[in-house]
Amino acid sequence: MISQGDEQAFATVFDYYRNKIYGVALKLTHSTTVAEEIVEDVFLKIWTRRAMLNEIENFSAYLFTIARNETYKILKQIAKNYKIVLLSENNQSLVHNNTEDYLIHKEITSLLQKAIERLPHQQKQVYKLMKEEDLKRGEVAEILHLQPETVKFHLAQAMKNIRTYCMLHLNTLIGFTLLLSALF
Amino acid sequence: MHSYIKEKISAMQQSRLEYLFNCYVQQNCSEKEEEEFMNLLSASKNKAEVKKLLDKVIENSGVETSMPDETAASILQNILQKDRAKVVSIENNKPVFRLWPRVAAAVAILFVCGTAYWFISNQNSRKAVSPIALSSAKASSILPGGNHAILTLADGSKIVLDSVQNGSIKGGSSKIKKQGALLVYESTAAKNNAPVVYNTLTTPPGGQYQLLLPDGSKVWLNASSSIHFPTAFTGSERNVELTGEGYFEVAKNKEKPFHVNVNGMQVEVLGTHFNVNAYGDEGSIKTSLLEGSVKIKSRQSSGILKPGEQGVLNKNANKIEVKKADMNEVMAWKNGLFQFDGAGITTIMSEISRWYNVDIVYKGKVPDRRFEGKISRDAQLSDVLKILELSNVKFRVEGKKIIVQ
Repeated sequence: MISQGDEQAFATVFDYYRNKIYGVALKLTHSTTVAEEIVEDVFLKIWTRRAMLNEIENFSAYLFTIARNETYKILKQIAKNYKIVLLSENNQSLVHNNTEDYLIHKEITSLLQKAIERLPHQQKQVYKLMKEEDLKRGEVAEILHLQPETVKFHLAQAMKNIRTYCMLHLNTLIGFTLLLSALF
Repeated sequence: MHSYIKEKISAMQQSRLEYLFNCYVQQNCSEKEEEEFMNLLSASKNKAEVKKLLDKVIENSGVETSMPDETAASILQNILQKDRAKVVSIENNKPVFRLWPRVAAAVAILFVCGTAYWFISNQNSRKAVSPIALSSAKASSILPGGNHAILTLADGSKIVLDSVQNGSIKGGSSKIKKQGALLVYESTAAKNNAPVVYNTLTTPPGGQYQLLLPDGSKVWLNASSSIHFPTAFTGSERNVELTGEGYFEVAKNKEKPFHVNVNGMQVEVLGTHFNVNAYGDEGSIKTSLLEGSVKIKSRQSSGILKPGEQGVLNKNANKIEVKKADMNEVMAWKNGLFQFDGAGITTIMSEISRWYNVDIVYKGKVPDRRFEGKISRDAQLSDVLKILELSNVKFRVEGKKIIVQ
């Protein structure tokens, strides 16, 4: 049915498998944002290649192979940029010399903004209050009626999400270094 | 047996990669271990083993975590929408008013990030990103090119299209319309006795334009280029002449083959998408095929291209060489980008010279370095130079002259 372009049938299959793929992706990236992207990539592949489904005998094996390959691709991308992250953390001075540079500033702002927009609701709130409004953890906890420990957890998750998102999407060495030093 | 010892033993039986993989998944790696894991992960030789480990994770995972229903719904929506957009662009075979149909994933990322990126193709990344003093180029905001072109009619009269309002243009017997940066020739009823009339569309340095020919073929013209074409295709062939660079989406018509004549070379097509780059300063004519099939002919040599291939005619050798080419790089100009994969500084600077209408002067030895990266063609010249300066090339700007030092 999916192979004939039945969106309803596709939605059913999507709902049946999405949490499993999401769980795997989350285990492997530790980032909800990136895990969501993997889910989208995997099912987009299934849907755009639906004409092929007639020849597939074992659908779940097919789906899991695609999921494995997509996850691998993304992990490799993250790994590729991992070194640069470490480098930037040891190279703080680079930022302070150049933060005023218009071009780089523009680049950082727009990518960070994109990463923040994609955070889950509570992580976004916590991140914005702490990083943009410069509030203390206790103050944020009070405002949001959360335990300080929960605020801490959300902030850590948000940072992880933003970092992984940037690793995946920013392709420039220079941009990377500056962006990440600005983060930490 | 004590569980700690058990773990130790099983750890010894695992490969190092498997051990690191597990500690990464369980998030209990030390920093050193995590770095080591990332190193192993990025090495292609470990691909098979990593994939096996990933398979194991998939096999052993249940549905412990679930994503919020709202998120799932929006992902599903995205997928269906993306796919619909794709189907439309494939089915819509008429190349008419579809602007920039194929924007590569890389370009999409570029838009997401909003601005220009550049990275140095230097493997030694530590060196590449070491602090560089930015001697901010004084290219006092030289603006990028835009949609500029001049139309020369059969009687020799010239129309500067920038200054013309959208709508009909008087051009002898032919019906011409300007729609933004696109010039449309409507097909008029075939009058076989009417003489064939030629028009020429020319882009200056820093200009680009689009042309819809009367047969429905569409041409994108890059900067410093021109196309000479009949206002009606009456004979048994469709012939146009090109200088500079153009991308063609030729409307199918088996009865009337389409010929692009470029500086002594001819590209013959039936209906297809291809790019011809014949800028004199690059020393060769490059024809790159995206879809369909084309035949290229010079006086002494000929060749047939398959999609993804590029035929290079070297002016000196006069021999056509066919090789695979990166179509994203070839088509970058049409998609609003400078894109280079291992290009030398002279190639980059001649493209900059054409788009920003500036002269390039080399002082001393031309730096022998290769670059890769992308920059938006909307960027100001000063931004582009700044990015290149980050890669340690030094410039001085004097009026409309750029001196490479």
